[in-house]
Amino acid sequence: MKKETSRYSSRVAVILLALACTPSPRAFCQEALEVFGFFQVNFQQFLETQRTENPAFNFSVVDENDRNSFSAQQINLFFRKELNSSFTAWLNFEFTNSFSSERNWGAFNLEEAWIKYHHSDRLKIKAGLLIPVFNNLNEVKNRMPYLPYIIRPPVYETSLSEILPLSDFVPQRAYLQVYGVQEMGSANLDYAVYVGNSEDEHINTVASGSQQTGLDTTNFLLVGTRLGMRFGRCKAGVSATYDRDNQNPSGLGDVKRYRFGADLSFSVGALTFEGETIFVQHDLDMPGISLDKRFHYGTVLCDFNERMFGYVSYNYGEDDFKFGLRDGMDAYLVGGGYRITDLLILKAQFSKISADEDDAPPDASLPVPVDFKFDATWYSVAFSVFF
Amino acid sequence: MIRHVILLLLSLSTVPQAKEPVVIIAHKQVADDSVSAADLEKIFTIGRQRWKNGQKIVVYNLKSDAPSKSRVYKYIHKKPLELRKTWLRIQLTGEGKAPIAVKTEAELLSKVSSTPGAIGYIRAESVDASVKILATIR
Repeated sequence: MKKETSRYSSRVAVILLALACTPSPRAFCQEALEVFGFFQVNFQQFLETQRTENPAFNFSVVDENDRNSFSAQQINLFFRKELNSSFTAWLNFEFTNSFSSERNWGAFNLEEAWIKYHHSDRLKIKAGLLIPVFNNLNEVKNRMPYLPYIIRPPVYETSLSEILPLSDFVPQRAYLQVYGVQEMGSANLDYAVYVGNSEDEHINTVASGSQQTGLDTTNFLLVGTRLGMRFGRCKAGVSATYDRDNQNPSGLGDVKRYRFGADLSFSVGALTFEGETIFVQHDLDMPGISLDKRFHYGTVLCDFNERMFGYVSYNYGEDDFKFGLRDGMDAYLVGGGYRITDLLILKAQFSKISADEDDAPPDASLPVPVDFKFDATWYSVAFSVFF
Repeated sequence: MIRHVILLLLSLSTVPQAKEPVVIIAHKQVADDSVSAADLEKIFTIGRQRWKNGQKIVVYNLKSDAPSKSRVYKYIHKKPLELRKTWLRIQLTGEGKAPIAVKTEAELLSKVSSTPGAIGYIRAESVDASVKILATIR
């Protein structure tokens, strides 16, 4: 009986698959649907030490964490269809950390769902859920086969979102973007202007009455822009966004926030330099309180040949408001890789992140000033497959 | 004896050879009549996706490391790895497609002559009247 049911299920699956793969009559006037994607699987040895101390009060808490783990770090599935010569539709589904809804592992996200109108190379419009252009890396931060890293520069590394407020540093999503390239002699001027919802903390997560989940609960918007120039193997740009930081839990309300960024990348021979700087400023008129943040990184990548590459990266971040990050955080990333084929890359990386804050002021959870020290070291190997 | 043969082969390989001209070809109905090295660089890096009349550009490339391919890459001042990275970024962000790779010059000629908006390259001696020549790399 069980065998019959199984045979029946597989027949239904085959029929459904065949139906899904059969183009509709309308599809013949369109380009074929392209389905492709990538995944990155890694192994990490992780060592973490966190010290919170106050010798005067004989107070000391030391947390040590030593673990290793395999993980299907990230899987992305893309669907692209050129509807006609002007319109392209794009879907991007992302699975992270060995996603399993049954076991409560990882996350499954609809990362992008947009349609692009290509009027000319000078004027393109994307409408729908999209990752906005901000500096150089934001738009491609999750494209692992394109990136040399296993652990990315911290503000782009989703696995660090619990210790670093990533969405405070860079915009995560927008809904309408106008962009293009203007040729200026042998140089190109890139521009992008976008608008979107306010930050994630303003998005409804509990359905009640007429309010659906996933909707913005405010009447604020995110607006942002990037202006860039490309000349030969050199690329530079400046970016800015304006939105409001949800500081209602800390009693500061919705604070006007400005993010400013600058990026520079260039190649000389086999070397590629890439760097970014980000300043997050808040319009907050309260003496002694600052929500401002800064982040900078620089990476030097060397393509030793067509197959092998290596890189070193230094990252520095500060957050005036976040415990442990007020005196700064350093991150060193050193790694390399081997392109077995254009579609399969082996990677290895050493990453060290440390934060140190002396005499952190007391708060509700820690009633005395403390010295805080955080050190984390990752040894990781991964392979990245583009299919 | 073997040493002499090796030396002879080495000397033959270092004899300068005249470079065969390579032509940049396009579908006959493409509106543009010529392309500069800068235009070609933009086309091959998918930075320029439309011809002057707004028609979509379809780029064809050779799969193998043919001499004509390295001549074109040199002409646009791009290394193969650099181009592959650019195409990967474009493909992964949904902005466009990497050039379509074909195995032989004959196949490339056939594809360019039959695909509206197409562009590619072949050795000058292989070209025929089925396509338009936009540039010659000597």
